[in-house]
Amino acid sequence: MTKILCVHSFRGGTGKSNLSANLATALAMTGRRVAVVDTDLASPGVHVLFQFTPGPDDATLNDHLQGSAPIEACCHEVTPDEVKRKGGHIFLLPASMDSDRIARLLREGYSVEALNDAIFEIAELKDLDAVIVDTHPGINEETLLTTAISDCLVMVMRPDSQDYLGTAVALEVAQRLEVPNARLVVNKLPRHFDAEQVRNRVQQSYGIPLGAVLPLSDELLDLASGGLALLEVGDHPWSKGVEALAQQLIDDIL
Amino acid sequence: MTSFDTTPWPRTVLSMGLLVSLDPPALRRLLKAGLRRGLPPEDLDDLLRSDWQIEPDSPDATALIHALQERGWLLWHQETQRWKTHFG
Ligand SMILES: Nc1ncnc2c1ncn2[C@@H]1O[C@H](COP(=O)(O)OP(=O)(O)OP(=O)(O)O)[C@@H](O)[C@H]1O
Ligand SMILES: [Mg+2]
Repeated sequence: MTKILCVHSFRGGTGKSNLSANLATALAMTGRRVAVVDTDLASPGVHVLFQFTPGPDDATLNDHLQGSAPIEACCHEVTPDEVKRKGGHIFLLPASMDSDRIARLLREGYSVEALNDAIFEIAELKDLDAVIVDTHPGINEETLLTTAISDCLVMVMRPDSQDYLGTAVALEVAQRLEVPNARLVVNKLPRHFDAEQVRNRVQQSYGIPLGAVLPLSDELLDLASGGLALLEVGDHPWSKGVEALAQQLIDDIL
Repeated sequence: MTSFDTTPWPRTVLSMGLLVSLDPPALRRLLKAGLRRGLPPEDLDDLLRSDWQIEPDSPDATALIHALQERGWLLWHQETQRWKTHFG
């Protein structure tokens, strides 16, 4: 049965898209079949990490949610060669980067029921082990839905006071929705921060398992979302941390 | 006398924002169970027994399902033979 992993944060720029893409890569490196769904329809971005640009003829999630494109047509294989060699597959369901389409989506909206159905339809069609949902930050109809349907909610935060408060709000909602599993990921930990102290604070604050503490990294800044850290700087502590998180999710959820 | 009161439940279309605010928790759980691939009838029966303490064929169960159907929150899908939570 396909597992749904929802990568979310209360505030923007925490590293959700980078984590989603690299987590997908780590899972696919073990031979699994994984899809990444860009539900950040207002400001899509995860396609960039796979160096995928939807062309004029490429259907996007928008064409399914607000049109008649079958979901399979919106699903693009983006498996890097290194992952192919390990027998894994990564599929991407990108959101449209066309400003008119984004405006139309905001103007007309769509039913989140269609998003729910799309995720489970593609899971079946592609025989997926996992669907990773990259989200828009904060609480809205989409993030409430993707939280509600997730087998595991991966909450990303920076060690920042606004993030601490916001994460508590998002987790309160997740609790009302009785999400079966959640993991906290602290990203962008500055070098001079005491990781142990952050670990303790986070665990005491939220009472949910800590999935990873990932460093603020010059290498990631240099990469500037232009590629997958896991493949470009595989030995970096950030990449190792994501790999360990993937293994944790494999052991506990998948 | 039913063990639950459906009268305070709003008569508006369902959204996730509404779902998350609904009480009792068993109502949220039922509507959540109708997400994903939907809820096969036998799973709904189990849920009614375990979460609502009502027998699937009882008048209470009929009243509950009717309250949800009437609001358009939970619909029966002939094609998949499942109950599905419906928005909008
Ligand atoms: N650990 C890190 N160290 C340094 N830079 C990072 C790290 N993680 C992410 N970044 C950078 O932070 C920026 C935001 O990352 P990303 O787009 O993944 O976040 P996001 O949570 O998806 O943002 P949004 O909320 O806008 O969707 C990017 O420029 C990315 O390269
Ligand atoms: Mg993002």
